Amino acid sequence: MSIIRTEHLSRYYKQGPVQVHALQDVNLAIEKGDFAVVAGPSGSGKTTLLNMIGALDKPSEGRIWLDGFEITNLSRRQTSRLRRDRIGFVFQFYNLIPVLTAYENAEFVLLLKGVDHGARKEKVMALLEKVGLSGLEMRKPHELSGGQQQRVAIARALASDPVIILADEPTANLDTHTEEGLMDLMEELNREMGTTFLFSSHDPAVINRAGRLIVLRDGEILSDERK
Amino acid sequence: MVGKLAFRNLRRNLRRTLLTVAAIALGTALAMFSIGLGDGGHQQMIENGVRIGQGHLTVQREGFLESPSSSLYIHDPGPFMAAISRSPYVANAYPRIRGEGILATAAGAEGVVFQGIDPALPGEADIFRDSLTEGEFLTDENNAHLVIGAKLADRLKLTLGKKVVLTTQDAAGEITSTLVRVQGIYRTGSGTIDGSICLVPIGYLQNALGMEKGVTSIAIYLENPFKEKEALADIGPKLPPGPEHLYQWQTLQPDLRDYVVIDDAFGYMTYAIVLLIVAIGVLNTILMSVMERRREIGILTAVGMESEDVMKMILVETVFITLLGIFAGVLIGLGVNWYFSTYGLDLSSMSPQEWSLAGTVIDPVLRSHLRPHRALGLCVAVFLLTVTMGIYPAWKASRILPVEAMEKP
Repeated sequence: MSIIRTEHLSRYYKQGPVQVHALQDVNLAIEKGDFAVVAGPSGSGKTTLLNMIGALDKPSEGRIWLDGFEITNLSRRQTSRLRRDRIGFVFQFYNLIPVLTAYENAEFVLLLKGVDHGARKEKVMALLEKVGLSGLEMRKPHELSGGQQQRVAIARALASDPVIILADEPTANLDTHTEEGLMDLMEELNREMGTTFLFSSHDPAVINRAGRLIVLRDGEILSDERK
Repeated sequence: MVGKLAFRNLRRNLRRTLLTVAAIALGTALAMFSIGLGDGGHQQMIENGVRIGQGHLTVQREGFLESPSSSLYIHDPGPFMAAISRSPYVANAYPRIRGEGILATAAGAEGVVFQGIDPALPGEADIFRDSLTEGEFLTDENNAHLVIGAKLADRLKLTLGKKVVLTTQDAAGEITSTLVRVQGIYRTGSGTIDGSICLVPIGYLQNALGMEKGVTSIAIYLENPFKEKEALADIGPKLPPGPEHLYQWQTLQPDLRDYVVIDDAFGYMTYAIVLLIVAIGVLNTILMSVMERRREIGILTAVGMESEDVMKMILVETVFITLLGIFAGVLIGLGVNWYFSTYGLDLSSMSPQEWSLAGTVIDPVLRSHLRPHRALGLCVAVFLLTVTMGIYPAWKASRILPVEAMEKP
């Protein structure tokens, strides 16, 4: 069964009198364990597609399934819980909570889920060690480098054991060396933990790492190939 | 978790948080000071009013309030005095004869309110005793002497030792006149009082009006003026049955009562305006902080925080700020009230003479008197008003869509 399935997925926006087609009739299936990249130029619909799949936005037309469960028309509360329990996010601009430490940022989703203190601590410490941040748990985001912040974001994304991690241009603000280290980490997580990753990126360094490459142009899938 | 986030968000922009807390504190302290000074002023007016008038509570015959005729008198005040003295709420009780009459001299005639008092009783008519400017106060309850106000003396061209005729209605309802001599002149500063009230020994009046041992009223002064209702409930049932009733000062001095009520109402309006201005300032601050954190709130909802929790977080921030502000405001307010309760606010330089209003004298040195339930009521009002102002920004925060909030900065 596909982890993600979309059927005739479309998203339109009104910009003044003009209707913009951000996505048009996208039919896609992401399998468990995929390390997939959605590539394309700016404005091709990459972020829009990830927003739909991540239940951050609702489609104008079409349907979406996550792990066999349709998520197209969920209520606000249902989508919050879905994101909390089933989806992990890694954003381009890290998007950590500035007043929380690295530990607390990684712990946040577990707190939302009501996990008890002991179990939270065990899990978060293990994740931070996995992402290479042991000893930096008590630092706030402004005390961490860009790469370290993104590693905290990955730990946070993994904390709830999501069915998929959606990463929207996660390396766009990092230098080459840090970017490589981050991609190595995510590949390792995909390989060892079987975590499904779906990236959006126009960075060749990321695209070259993809196990599956989906190319978008003008909101439509141009190609979808496994390497 | 919501509390932790809220507390840390407040610490993040400490200057803004402290400024908002200071605004709430100043508003609370100002309102608290106004309430204390207002209540203290009212209390002083009421105390002066009941000292000049007929006490906190008064026993008199039914009908005397509407028509103060000497024929409506308490024939035997003894059992009433005994019952009153048994109440733990009573400080003093004074039998009196009160009525309306005419004082006449060769220079003219004036309508007066005369008051028959026993000068030997401790504390009796002490406001007039303390205001004496010429001569002596009454000393013997039986002699034909008179103490009058300075304004009345001026109008009738009376000086110490001069004789004057007092004409009034006696116990039988007949017009009677009696000759008295001016022994003392007082000046309270109130034109109304100084121009209308004169004091005569009660024994002399009982004789002149044919009352034997009767009196028209018994003025009761309480240990604690704020226990009026309790005193009323305690004394009322103890009085001998008959046409005599127990009245509160509010019934006998409606002008004073109404002034206090109206002044209180204006006071409440003023406090409400001050607190509303403070609350709007808090609304602006919280709304600003929500708008500044749009992206961050979008992240919180993106990773799964529910709208209700976002709303709770903003409300908790508002509650924190409000409680801190109220706490600081109460400390400042209590300090200021203590100072003006101890040293008073001297407004005598604003007027060369004493003030009078609603039939009483206003002390130009105002002393604050803040009662606990008034302070508590203010705190509750500030809390409710300020937290209510936090509802809109909290709701706005809960409506932030993560996809809009997280657009590239």
